[in-house]
Amino acid sequence: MKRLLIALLPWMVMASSASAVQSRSAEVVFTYFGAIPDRGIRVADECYVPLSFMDKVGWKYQVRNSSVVIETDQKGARVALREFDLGRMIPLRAALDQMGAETLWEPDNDNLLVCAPVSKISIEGNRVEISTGIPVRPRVFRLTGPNRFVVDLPGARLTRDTVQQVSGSNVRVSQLELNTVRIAYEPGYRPSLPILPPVGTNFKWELDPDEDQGTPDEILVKTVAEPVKPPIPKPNLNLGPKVIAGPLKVDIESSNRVALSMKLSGLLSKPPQFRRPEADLLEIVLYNTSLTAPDSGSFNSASVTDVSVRDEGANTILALRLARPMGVELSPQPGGLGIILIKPSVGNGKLAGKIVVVDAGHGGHDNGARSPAKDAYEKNLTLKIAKQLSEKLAKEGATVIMTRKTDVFIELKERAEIANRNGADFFISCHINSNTLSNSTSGGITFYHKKDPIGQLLADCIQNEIAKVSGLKSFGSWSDGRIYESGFSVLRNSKMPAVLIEFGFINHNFDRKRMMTTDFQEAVAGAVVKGLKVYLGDGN
Amino acid sequence: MATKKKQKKSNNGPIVGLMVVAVLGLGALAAYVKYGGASKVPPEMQRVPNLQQPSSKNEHSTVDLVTPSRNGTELKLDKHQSDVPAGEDARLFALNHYLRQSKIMPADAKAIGIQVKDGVALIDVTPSFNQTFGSLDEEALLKGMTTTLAQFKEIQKVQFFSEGKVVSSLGNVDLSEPIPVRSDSVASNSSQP
Repeated sequence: MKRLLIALLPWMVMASSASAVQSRSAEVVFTYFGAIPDRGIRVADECYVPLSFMDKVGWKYQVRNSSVVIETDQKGARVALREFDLGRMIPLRAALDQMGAETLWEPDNDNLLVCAPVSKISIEGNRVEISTGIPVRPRVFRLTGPNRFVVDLPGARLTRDTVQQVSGSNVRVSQLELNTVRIAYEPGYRPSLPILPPVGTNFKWELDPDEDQGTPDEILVKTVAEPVKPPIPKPNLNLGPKVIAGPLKVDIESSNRVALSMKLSGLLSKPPQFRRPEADLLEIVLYNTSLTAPDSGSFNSASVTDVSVRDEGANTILALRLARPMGVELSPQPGGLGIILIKPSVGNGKLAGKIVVVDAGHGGHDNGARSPAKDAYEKNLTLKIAKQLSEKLAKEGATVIMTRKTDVFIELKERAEIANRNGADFFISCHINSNTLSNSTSGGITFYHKKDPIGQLLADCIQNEIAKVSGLKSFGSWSDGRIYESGFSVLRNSKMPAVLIEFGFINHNFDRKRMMTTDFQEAVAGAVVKGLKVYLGDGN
Repeated sequence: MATKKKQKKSNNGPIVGLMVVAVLGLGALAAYVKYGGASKVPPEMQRVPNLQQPSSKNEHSTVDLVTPSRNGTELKLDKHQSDVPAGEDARLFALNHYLRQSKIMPADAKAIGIQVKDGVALIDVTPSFNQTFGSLDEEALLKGMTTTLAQFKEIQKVQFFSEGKVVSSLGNVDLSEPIPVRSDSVASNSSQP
């Protein structure tokens, strides 16, 4: 008997260790797509995803008995099919490995990054060629001081072999972030900005000098180094000389805000504006301005991880990569520009445990907007999306309070009061738009209140994610003051970060058909959840 | 017999008593309605004037009519001058012109009465006016109507009533209190933000 037990011991150890491998919910961040709405299951180092995942990333596949054959424009793959409680799934990492992609788990969480290995970087004279293992969507732009042609590849990884291909002191290649590669080339002139290429695996650019070579860098630096002259008031500076700005410096950095400033040699012809192409990327547009990029040695901020400058016509774009998404206030003054970065209060930075009020717009006798044939009402669509959103938030561990769960009327002020009474962390109001003439306007907008920088940040985070999955045009985020001076009642009266989302236009045939599908409702609900997580820095 | 009569008299006592109680009760109810808690209707109801009365006269023979148009999401409000038809209130004429031109509300949505009190235009509208819309339609309605009314110096604010009740919103903007007709964003010819 004792011998039998000893003989069985290795098997018992193996069995017990196998049962100790737990499965956990995992998020897949897929190259340039970003997070895919379908969550996967992490089992040890493998990530299993449902078959529907392949539709999301555009793969064709066939199920053959217990395996799945995947076809893409590049390499295909064949992997085993596995049955889970949630349905049939495939091992994503095994599939991507066969396709030539690189995958890696983010440290300390269950986010799987799917990256395209950069297989070729060739720069000779004015020709730049880049190839990747799976498709990516490059970002191409120019930097000044010195003039550089820059390609960023989100969702890409450098390999050692590729780095060794690159030679010459005028080319720099770096892994800018865990899943972003940057290639910067100094051609010796200001290159004309090429057209942004579409998604692909092979990219070629033939550079040529831009007609406007701008101010020589040496002169620019010298000008900025001199004391800034007081602004000369002129009635119209639209056609005046360029304003020289810079350098950017950090004035104050505290736990909740960062104050940056730069000097200006004159009055800006238009107030500067900012945009947020990504949650943590801030682009400040300076009209008719030349700007010197800050010296990386002297610019030191834990909140701003990268600063770059590029031209857009006569304007200059100051791009700040932030350590986390932050609210922004610009304060142009005579002789200078102040940039205040406001860090939102996010508690522990997790969506789990947060109180979210989900408001389905209209209801009861208040139908809201309606389709021309009066066969679709805003109040019904908002309720469907709000229910999807509530379910997804609850799955993330958030406490959800719906302002209505049925077709009932609730006063505008009461909706915000529900959030205030319950000490909510977020207020999300779901709406559908309309615009006089049928089929004249299509797309989504997320509103924030007036000039609230935190509301705007939340709106940007959410609208950016909605734009990725909705299949509709995005108008970005708007201040509710743009609709009427007082703003929207629910946003004005809410005491926490609040947004009102218009998902699309009910009197546009394409929008309406799309919005009435369960697929749309699930996708945008997932995007709102993702937007909240991006805002919180949850899982990034 | 006498005993019977006495009994009859004593039988009527409770009935008379009940009648007295009923009369007193009705009196108390009437007094309550007139002076008591029942008069404490919501403030917005108290403010409602008799808007069905003929509109207070105004002296405008010509008026600026506003017409909306859109270029994508951008709203543009164009003005042109017009004579006011004889016997019509210039303010209602201009307002109804805008409602017709915007084509957002049904054709029977109209302003049918107006009184201006302490700078606030209290406008009576038909029931079909009282509904909600998407943000861009709401923008066109609010900016167009306030721009139309801003040309009348006596009007500082506006509030709409339908069947004696305040129109609380046309979408997301709170109209339960009077809203200003003049500001940087609504008084200009173009409504660009």
